[in-house]
Amino acid sequence: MLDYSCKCLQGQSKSLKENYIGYRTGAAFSGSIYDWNIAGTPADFEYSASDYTVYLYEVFRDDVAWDGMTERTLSCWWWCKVVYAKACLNAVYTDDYGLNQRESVSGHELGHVLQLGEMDWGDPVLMNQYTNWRFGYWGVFTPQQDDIDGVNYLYG
Amino acid sequence: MKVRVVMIITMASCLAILCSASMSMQDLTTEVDVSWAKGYAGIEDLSAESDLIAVGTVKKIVEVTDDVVGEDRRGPIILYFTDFAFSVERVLKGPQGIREVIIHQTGAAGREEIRDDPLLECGDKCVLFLHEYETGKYYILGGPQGRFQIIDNEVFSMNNILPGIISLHPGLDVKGMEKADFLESVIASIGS
Repeated sequence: MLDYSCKCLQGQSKSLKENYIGYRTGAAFSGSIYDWNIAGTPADFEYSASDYTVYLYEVFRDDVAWDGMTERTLSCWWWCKVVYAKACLNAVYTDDYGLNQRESVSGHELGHVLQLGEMDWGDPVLMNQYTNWRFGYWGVFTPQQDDIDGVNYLYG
Repeated sequence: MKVRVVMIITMASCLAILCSASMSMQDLTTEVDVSWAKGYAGIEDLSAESDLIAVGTVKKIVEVTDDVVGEDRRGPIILYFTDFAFSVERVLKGPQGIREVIIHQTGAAGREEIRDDPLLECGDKCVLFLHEYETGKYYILGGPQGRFQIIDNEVFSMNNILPGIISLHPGLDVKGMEKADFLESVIASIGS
């Protein structure tokens, strides 16, 4: 079990926890956390042992067409901020992926944690919502400039 | 001086009341997004991977299941699924003679729903491209990609049902095509 925290600007302090995770999914999330942290945005993920607001886990579902999912609870007034989020990889798919392809999914889900939305099949960005286009066609598994601009816009 | 102090205290009180009111006015909303394992480039692509392509109507909700997949500090982590009975009027690909199948979707009404793959609704007439994951049970290929709605005998892909929320490859973009023409094109794609 690994605990992280996500420290964001604007006084937001999120923590992030991984549980029920196999080594493949754990390595993918760890890699994506590193990728987001070096992307130069105000939103960083950081190790923490307690008080997490982001929970990472893994499922094994052969009854769905998705390989990753994020559920985020937003508190909205003048603007919305994430108060809690859960992100998972579906190991039925991702266990057959190589590390970079798995990171393409885990990085995408962490983008959702940071409130980024879905992008089109033709966009060579991490938030492209189809793994075979995002990674298979465009080879993207780390945050691209457009992803980074999105986070900077939201948190900068 | 006293007047100033009273004014400051009054203003501070008002601010405190406003702040507490605004805090209580905050709405908590939940959003669910997924990464689709596969994006399809066209009908041929979908057809090739489908175990069953069926035209029919969503009849009723058969079951809503909640699977506990873990536990976080807020309690159990639950994934919701809804099974729909889909009455089959015509099979375009797959075993002929099927009259009803179960369509399995992630989410449950009023609890959580994938933003770009909203739950089916009873009465929806659709052409569905399906994968059989268990005997008699299917999920729609690629979520919104394998789902085409029939409205007044015309067929629409989901990006035209929920524009701005769902984006699909142009090869799947269908807007108001005559049902007969669409079915013909699907059948042609199976043979190709």
